[in-house]
Amino acid sequence: MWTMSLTEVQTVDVVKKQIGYKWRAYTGVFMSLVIIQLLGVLFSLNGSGSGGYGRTGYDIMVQYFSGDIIIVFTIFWGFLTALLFTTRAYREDDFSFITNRTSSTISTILFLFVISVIGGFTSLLSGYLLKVLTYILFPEGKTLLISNPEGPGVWIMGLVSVVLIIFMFSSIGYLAGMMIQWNKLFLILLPVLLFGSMTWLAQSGVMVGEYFYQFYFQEKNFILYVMKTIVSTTGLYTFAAFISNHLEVKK
Amino acid sequence: MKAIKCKDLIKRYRRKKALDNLNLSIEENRIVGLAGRNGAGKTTLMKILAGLLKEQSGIVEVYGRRPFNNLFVSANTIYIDDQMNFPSPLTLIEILEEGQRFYYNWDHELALSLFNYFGFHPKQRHNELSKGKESTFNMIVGLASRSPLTIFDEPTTGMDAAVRKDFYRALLKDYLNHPRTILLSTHYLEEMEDLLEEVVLMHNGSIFFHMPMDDLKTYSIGLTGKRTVLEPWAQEKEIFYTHDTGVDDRYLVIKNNLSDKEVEDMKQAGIRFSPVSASDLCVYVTDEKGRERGVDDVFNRSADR
Repeated sequence: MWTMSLTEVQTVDVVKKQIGYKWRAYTGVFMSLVIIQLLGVLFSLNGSGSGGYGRTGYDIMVQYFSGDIIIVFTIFWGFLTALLFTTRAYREDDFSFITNRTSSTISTILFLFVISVIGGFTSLLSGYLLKVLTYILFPEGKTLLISNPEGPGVWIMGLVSVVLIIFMFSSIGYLAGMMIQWNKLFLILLPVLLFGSMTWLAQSGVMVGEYFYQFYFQEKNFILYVMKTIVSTTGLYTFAAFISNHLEVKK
Repeated sequence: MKAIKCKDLIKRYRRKKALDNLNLSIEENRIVGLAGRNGAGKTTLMKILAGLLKEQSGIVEVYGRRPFNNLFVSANTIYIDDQMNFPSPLTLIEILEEGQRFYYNWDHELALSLFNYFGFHPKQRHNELSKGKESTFNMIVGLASRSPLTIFDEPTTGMDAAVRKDFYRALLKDYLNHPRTILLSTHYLEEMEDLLEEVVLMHNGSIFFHMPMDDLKTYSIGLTGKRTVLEPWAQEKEIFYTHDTGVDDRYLVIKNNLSDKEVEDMKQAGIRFSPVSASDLCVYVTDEKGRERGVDDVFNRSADR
């Protein structure tokens, strides 16, 4: 005779299952990653700067190419993907199977980390694609390919930096999304407050954008950079998780 | 242990009290129908039991634990309604496979045979299904999960009569082989009279009655006769429903506790008796005052003008 038994579950097990579920279900995320990075490569082909000399019979034109746009696009992709995951349809997907708010939030954040790693890795690889393309597309010029001047150690540090910055922007997107889910008013309020306060502060001489750029992007010390981004990301996700704990699903 | 226990449960939406001091207790391994008019609070109650909504006050327990945000309750409960959301990239078969990964008692063989029986295509997607097909698929997920507490909120939405019949049969067979607590709300109570063991009738956010189906079937009786003849008999009875069928004919539904002598005398007086189905009774007792004459009245009035 079959008897009904109640099952005790561990949060860790459910989180693992939820991550696998998202990995199989949200293939569209990787589709958009490919598209946005190809677009990044396309825009980079325009060159990021140029200079020229004309002296004693020689004309020298120098055109610079860099993969920065690809990374910026990927950061933006991380932000938007996180924002998308906070919408009701995505949250309800979780609740179609076993979950509570904690396991749903943790699995989403871990999944965002996984895709940040993939996004960071592929954005660096896209840089190589760019180099190959400039070599093919501009045969009239001598192409100077600069890569890994300081060996794999620096490359890995670059990778970690890119992954962390994508992950940090995903936490900003996630928090913004959660605030909007909590109260739709934030959809208008957030941009107004952000740009409003930035403009207001700029008038009194405080450049928030510049400060932000210096604080994260121009940090020369790698360890300090890692700490800054990780602490910010943790803070933002904690706040978002706090909000999501008060959200009801399936109204 | 009780499968479900609610005490003084209150849930308020911005303008309306959805649950108003609701008290309910359901034993394990029962199949219970939740009846009530639209807006009675059935869905709210079910979602609170599944941990999807948060109660305002009162006690709610599923297998002894508070459901909201509870992993244990989520692991032992499944809530199926006609708004199930599954990720759109997944095919139907892939959704069933996810169910298998999540639910500990999942019966994949049952899922696949029902899947084939109802003619689904493995590559189909959930958002491509018609209303009835969608309900059928969700029902398969609900049955195959074998959750100790299985909640179906209007599971037959959009299903045609033949599929509904199949669903009742599948539900009954699987319930007999694998007893568990099944709570289901339906507007087709008359079709489920042979399936349900208990009926809970909700009205205005609280429980109107909770009784075994067998009791409910004989709980009331219908009387038809001349109004003048019926009136003296009905005076000291509990009347659930009054309907004037003609100029001076009346149909009354009263509590079925007449003595043999009363029945005999009433028959002598020309009163006819008829059984009242469980679903009709549920509609009669929850009829709001002021709407006693039904929707016909709306049209009669406009015709008079």
